[in-house]
Amino acid sequence: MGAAVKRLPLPSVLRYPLLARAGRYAPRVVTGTRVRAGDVLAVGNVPVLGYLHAAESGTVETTATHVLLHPDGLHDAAPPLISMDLAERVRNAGIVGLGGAGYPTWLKLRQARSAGATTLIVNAVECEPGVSADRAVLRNHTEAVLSGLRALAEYLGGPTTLIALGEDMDDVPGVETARVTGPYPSGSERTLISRVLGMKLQKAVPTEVGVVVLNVATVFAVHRAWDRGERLLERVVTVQDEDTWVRIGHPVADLPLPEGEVMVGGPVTGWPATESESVTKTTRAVTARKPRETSPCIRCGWCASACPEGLLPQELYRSINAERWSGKEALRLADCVECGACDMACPSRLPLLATFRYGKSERLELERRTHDAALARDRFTIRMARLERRREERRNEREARMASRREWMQRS
Amino acid sequence: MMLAALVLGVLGLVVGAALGFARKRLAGEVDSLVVAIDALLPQTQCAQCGYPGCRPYAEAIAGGAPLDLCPPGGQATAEAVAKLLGREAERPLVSTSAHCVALIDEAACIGCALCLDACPVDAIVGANKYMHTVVEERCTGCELCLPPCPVDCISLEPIAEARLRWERP
Repeated sequence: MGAAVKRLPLPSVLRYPLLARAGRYAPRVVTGTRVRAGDVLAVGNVPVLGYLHAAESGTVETTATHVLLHPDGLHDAAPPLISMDLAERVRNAGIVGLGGAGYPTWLKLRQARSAGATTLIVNAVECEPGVSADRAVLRNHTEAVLSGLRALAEYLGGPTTLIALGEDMDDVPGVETARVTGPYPSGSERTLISRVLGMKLQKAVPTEVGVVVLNVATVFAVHRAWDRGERLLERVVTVQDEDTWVRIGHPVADLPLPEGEVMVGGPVTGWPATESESVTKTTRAVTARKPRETSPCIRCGWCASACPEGLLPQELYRSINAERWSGKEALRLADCVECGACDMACPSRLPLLATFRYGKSERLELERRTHDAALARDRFTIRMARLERRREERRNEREARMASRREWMQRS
Repeated sequence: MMLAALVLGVLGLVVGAALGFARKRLAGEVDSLVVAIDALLPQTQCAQCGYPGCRPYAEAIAGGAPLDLCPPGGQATAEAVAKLLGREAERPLVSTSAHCVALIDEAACIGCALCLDACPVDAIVGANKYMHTVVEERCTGCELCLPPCPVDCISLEPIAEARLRWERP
């Protein structure tokens, strides 16, 4: 690829976790399988997850939690993808939204096509301070991005296309651009739409109102899949300050990082890396920072003024820590867009975002348990009714038998 | 004086009639308390409380049974029910370990169909002389299928996490 963005050397092992935030991957390989770059390693149990491909050729080792790939350095590649329409190609290439949310691009395209798309926005507004992966892709692969954009526009039936840029980014010649200004988070999809198009979405999904927003790295991946039949095997990651091509599955521990607490996913919205953390399709950045010293909440309310959704982060924080899920504030937890603006505003440096994420997954778990309990209750009730019915039937049969015997006795 | 007595008397009659009507026609469901208690129980249907299932235990609690009989629910359930009823939470039992589901070793199963009758939620599929299997999503991990199995081919396995969860910071 472009000379300006370096590619990291091949690590000794690539690690693909089977457990994701949205569900699980089921491995399609066993220990000892030899794979080529681009072969399918695992398939998600929900459509949102899609395919996981081997980034290099090598030998596979599966554990309960991971697929490990020991690269052989031969760079054998699976044959390129051919035929198929764009959405199907994108699906088979394993492309998801690379901006961070990881929503499958093929699903978004299908939905947009059937709903009718009027505007296609390429999002190059960097979502987070300290991350520059998006602008690196646009600067170094402008032609490729435009080619991907043309293919997408054709698939969507010729919507207006424009590229949304941050304030300090260079213009892109030959295509309509829009400058996005205003406070963080400009790069988040909903904020972007309201700032570029002046549209308020309320609860609507962008595709429902004819707007498609795709991250610039996603558009580049679409170009590689459509024009060259390549699968999504690597992405640009801001490693500390440097934008680098990193293979999906590269262990975070192997990245060239200074000492400090390693945050995966950017300095603001990232989370502390676990020992076995790897670069995934949605990893924008990996940063090492000084560990944070927290102090108690002083009720200054700065987090509430920083929140783009108008939530009260300090109240939410207290409800979650008290495991109170039914309060008025706790109910608005789902509206949190996980931008981390409250974290930046907090003078006590409380882990607000991390707490909200924990709260969201706990709530999900609670809902799942309630749902399972309701199912078990129904099945138990139905079974009890069935057993009762059977007892009743047996009683009736016995009585009928007794009656006929009495009749017979009387006759004889 | 007479007028006041008359007004109050008529008012009393009208309100009394309205209340009587409401009591008859708008009465709450008899077992709404039982339903409310049942909603707090874990629905494992494990019968460890000594009642045949969660609903029967809920009925017993409404009739004054102790609150500390439910190990799967543990402390949280005992406290929730105590709060609902305005009673003291009795020393609650500790919840059992990780959530498990039954797994039949299909090679060892002889198809005796004894576990089918034991399962309180009909989560085991099979027939006489045919291999049985547990429908994982429906199994509550109650362990009631273990004792009837003549070849001990059922074990309890911890279920795989459905997704990666965020940890408490």
